Amino acid sequence: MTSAIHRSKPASRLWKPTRRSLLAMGGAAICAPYLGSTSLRAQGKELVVPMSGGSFMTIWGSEVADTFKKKTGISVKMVPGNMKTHAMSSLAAKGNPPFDLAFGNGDDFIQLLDSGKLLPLSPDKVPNIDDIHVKFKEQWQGHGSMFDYFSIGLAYATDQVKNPPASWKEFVERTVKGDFGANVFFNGLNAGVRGPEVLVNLARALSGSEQNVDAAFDALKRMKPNVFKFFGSINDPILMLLNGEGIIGPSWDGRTFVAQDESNGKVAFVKPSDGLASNGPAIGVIKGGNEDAAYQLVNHALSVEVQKPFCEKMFYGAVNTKVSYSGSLAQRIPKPDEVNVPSERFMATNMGAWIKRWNQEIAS
Amino acid sequence: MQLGVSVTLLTLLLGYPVAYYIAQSGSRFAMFTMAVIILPLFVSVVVRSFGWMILFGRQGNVNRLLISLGITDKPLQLLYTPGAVTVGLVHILAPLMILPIASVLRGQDPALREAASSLGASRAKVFWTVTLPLSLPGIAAGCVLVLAHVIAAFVLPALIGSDRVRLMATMIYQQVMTANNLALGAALAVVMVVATFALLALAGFVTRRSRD
Repeated sequence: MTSAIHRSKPASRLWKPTRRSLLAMGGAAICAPYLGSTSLRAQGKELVVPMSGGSFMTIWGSEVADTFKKKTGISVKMVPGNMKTHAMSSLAAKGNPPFDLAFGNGDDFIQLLDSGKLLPLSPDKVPNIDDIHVKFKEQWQGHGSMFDYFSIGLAYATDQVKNPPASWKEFVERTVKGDFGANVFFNGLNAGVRGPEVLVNLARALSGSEQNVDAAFDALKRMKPNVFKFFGSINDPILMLLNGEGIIGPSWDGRTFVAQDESNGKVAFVKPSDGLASNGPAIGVIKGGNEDAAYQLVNHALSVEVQKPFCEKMFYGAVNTKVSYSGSLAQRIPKPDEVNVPSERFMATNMGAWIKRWNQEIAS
Repeated sequence: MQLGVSVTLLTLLLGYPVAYYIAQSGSRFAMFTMAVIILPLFVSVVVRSFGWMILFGRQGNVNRLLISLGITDKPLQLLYTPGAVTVGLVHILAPLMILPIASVLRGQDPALREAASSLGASRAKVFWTVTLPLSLPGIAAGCVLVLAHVIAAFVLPALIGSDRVRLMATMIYQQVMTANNLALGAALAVVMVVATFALLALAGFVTRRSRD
């Protein structure tokens, strides 16, 4: 006779996961943060803003984000990283944009503008837009403004160059003649060191028109034997001046002023009479994000109360015409009329051809 | 490619003797040498590049040495040249050549060398006919590692090189980040990946041939 007693198997002491159980756990882990709660961003109490990082982000945090939160109660979450990558993710997003603000390089801003991802910055939504100098907003078709502007002039080692050039034209001719030896540095064509801006500014200085880049390329070809480095990092000019590698070349105003103060005048800055190359990050509101809060932040960022302390700390130019700088900064920071802001669309359209030409004629 | 080949050959010429010494010498100094080779791997490439900037600068140690020896009377432009990039890459990538070769050499049966010696072969002949052919897999592995890294090198050429030193990685960066030409940048990236896989296949072929 067969035993009718059923002996049950002992329960396994170890849980053996199955594919179904693993998938269920993964789904629960993803959904859990959203169950029974709504994110601050969804409630309109937080804005997400792209940032590059470094001291810019630190000071933007203290002068713009913190003051905005005190005023409105809305938090600003800054996401550091590569600005181009941020722009690409905004461009690629369908529906729910990853950022509420567009903030970054002009060539990326153009793509956002042309893709219809930006909202207009009308005076009723952004009253401070009327105080922005026309030079810093005219090319964005009412959908953006620059937030601040840097200026690129000439920096030189004061113990090596006793009689610095007064203009870009003079700088080019004296470099070609060998007045500075083979100790000249110049911007590479990377966007990171504003190569395109300096190129078109040089074209404007030499020929009267920023569109005549042939004049700039010809000048660079003639200068090339005496240019030991076409630099690729924004810190290179000051580094090369202070460690004796180079004695003269284009450099940013703010960084040169800081180096001048910290080195007791070992380096100095020249504002070329034929205009400084200039540009800056553009700021705008992205469609589909926290639009109302984003408009408030843009207006706040363009206000005198924010522009003045931010720009004084960063040694950048303020785009708001009502800003009056303190002390010696008023003499140091170039005024809007002294700087040349290039056409982003012109640069973006021709960049591919310029790079090919640069690789063939200059970097060879 | 030119830079890749020259860096690979230089690391091989400099690295093989070091690997041979580490593998064949039983002295404690060999272990110390191994540590000296491995330790820099713990230091970031950026930091090591800055070290070369200090050494090669116009006011750097190399120029001071050359001036003190009377070889030159004024500082030479050593930094931001293809030569500086070559030296920097050789320094950074030498461990990738030395370690695979040392590993293969250490794994060789000493009886094979003893047999060759006992049959009358000189030390040089033993090296050329026994040791070197048997170390080909290590050489192939080292060459592939070094060449692949040179193709993809970005940080060091950016810091101590110039626009005139153009590598695949810098060209990709230029097209994507400066020219906004994502299509060409992606195409160059594919070429770089395919080239790397081709090198791996070549190394595998050389390894199989040497075993046969």
